[in-house]
Amino acid sequence: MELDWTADEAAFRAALRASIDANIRPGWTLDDRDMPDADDVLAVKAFCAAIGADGFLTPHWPVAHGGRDASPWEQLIISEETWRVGEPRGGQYMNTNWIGPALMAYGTAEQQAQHLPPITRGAVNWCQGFSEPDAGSDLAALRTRAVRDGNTYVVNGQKIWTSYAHAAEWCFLLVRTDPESPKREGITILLVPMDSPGIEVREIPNPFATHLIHEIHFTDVVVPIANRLGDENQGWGIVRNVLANERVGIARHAHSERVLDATVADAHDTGIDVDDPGLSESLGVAYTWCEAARAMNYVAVGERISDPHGARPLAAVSRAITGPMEREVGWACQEVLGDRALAGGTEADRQIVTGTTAMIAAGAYEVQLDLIARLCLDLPRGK
Amino acid sequence: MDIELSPEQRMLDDTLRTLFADHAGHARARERHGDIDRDIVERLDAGGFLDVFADAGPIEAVLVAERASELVAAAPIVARVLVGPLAGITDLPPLVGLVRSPDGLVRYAGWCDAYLVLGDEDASIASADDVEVEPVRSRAAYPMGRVRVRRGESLGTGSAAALRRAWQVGIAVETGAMARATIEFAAGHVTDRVQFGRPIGSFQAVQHRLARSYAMAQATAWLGRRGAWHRDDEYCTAAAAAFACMTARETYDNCHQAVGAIGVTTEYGMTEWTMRLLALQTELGGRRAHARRVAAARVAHVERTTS
Repeated sequence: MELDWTADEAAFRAALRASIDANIRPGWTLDDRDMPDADDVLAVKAFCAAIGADGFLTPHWPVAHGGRDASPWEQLIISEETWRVGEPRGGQYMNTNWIGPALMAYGTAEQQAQHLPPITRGAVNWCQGFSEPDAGSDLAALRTRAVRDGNTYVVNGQKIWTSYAHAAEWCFLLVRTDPESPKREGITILLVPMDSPGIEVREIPNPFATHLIHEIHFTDVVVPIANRLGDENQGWGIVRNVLANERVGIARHAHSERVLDATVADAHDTGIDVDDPGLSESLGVAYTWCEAARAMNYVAVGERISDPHGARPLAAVSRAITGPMEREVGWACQEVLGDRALAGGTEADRQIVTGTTAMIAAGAYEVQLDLIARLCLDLPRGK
Repeated sequence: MDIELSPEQRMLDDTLRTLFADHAGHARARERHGDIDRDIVERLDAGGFLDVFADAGPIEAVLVAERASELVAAAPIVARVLVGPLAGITDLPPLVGLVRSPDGLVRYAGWCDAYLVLGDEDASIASADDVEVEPVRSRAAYPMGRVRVRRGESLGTGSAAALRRAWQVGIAVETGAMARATIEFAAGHVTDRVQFGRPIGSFQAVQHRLARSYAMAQATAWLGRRGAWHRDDEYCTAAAAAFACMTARETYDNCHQAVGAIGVTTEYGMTEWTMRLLALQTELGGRRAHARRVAAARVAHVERTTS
């Protein structure tokens, strides 16, 4: 066990930080990650292209696909450094973390040749077509239908809560191809161009952020069979692997800690005494949650290294710490700054969004608790 | 970064698990209430485990502390194996107590060969002959008392901060291991206990209580390990202790609630852990004091980097 970064890892972080500082759009914030404006979409691609050229977008990928087989620790360092500054990769973190690896593991040579180079160049945005109105935490209940018609599928249905859909060129789409099978056995993955006729993206209005979440409606969308990832009706196994990768190594703690730092600086500027025992305690508890999330994030990465094909119980533990961390940080900002925390444009204000959504998105907090109950405590299943 | 135990560390861990399984445990701890288990300390001493920090390193010392805590060895092993060495204090006798001067309650008061005394300005060490002990009745599952130091030997400049940080780590390591053991004990009960025609552990309301506690216990354990590694960084060590206090409360509440009435009985045994957790979360001022130290450390960092 070695709980320090190695010299090589520290050097990697320093070089990465220099590349990020040189290439991030000035004034970038976590709000921009959702790419609310067309300029933001361009900024994400420009940033990813630039750090990709410096070797910092997909270093953990195999050499054969443009990486250099860097360790998951370097992948985590990338996440820490990008989250620290508001994740200027936008939704492209998905490309590098799990869409690319899914294509490498299950894609055809043609699919890999088509999709992997644009990802390594930062030239493409993807979205994930997973949740549906009646399939959220119970994802396997999805009903978006794909029916074979010669060499194509015809897709009808609706996805919901989709991030980055308005800016995506491609959708990693889960569809039901066999409605008669048990629900986990009739699911297939399709790689769908978002400019396909019959696709309509609608932003879901909310008081939190522009282009935070969307619906995607599919009406008789024709998708070539060549765009299927893996075998028909075998999508669930791929998705489980995909979700395991999605759950590991997203370094939200790095951003939350920075939000608290900004809140401290804001408090100083406005004459709020953060040494007041009550405020100090609130801040200390929130920083403590950040440290706990950091520790478990590292443990989850270690678990991924030591047991890459296992059930990853500690990844669920990590997420069960990270979600509450976001909320604790949000409340601490409001306790320290009072009504100033509600003024738009501050880090504290943005944390209201993150604190609200972090325990809901990408597998609700309660789903993580279910996983812990089953995988860590071996508790009996409910009826 | 490497969070895996090395082969040597795994071997040590296996040896310790066997040792404590054979010579500790909640039933044995219950028999020794208000007493100390000298046998396990002698075995650790004979095996060289008390000085594993100097011989091997902080993670090895953490392993001894974790295994001793989860099997509630009835002796102040964490103070001797981990806290003292982390603070740079060597040549300690086998039984060491931790005293927050002037009047903090002391675990194993009256049973120790020496006491490490944390004052506001410095830290000192006092032999058993140099203190007066007033036993205090307590529900906490440790023999408790107040220790008045007549004479102590100063441990030098910076010793108070070093001892405080080491003690914070000790709280986290002990809490993390005990909390996890408590939760696993409770999980066994709710798996076997049938009500409404099914194991109560199959109800999500029960599962989520234990799962939430388990997540916090894991985080506490890892914060403890990180704290031991980064023992000079109070942001790390105080965060470990602050989170440990939250975990102790969460585990206490959720395990007692999940297990129900049987959990409060002496015979059942769960209180051997929960009553210790109760004591740990009060030490050094408890969650609020630790949290303020976390904030102070970080605010100082922010001021340095923004000025």
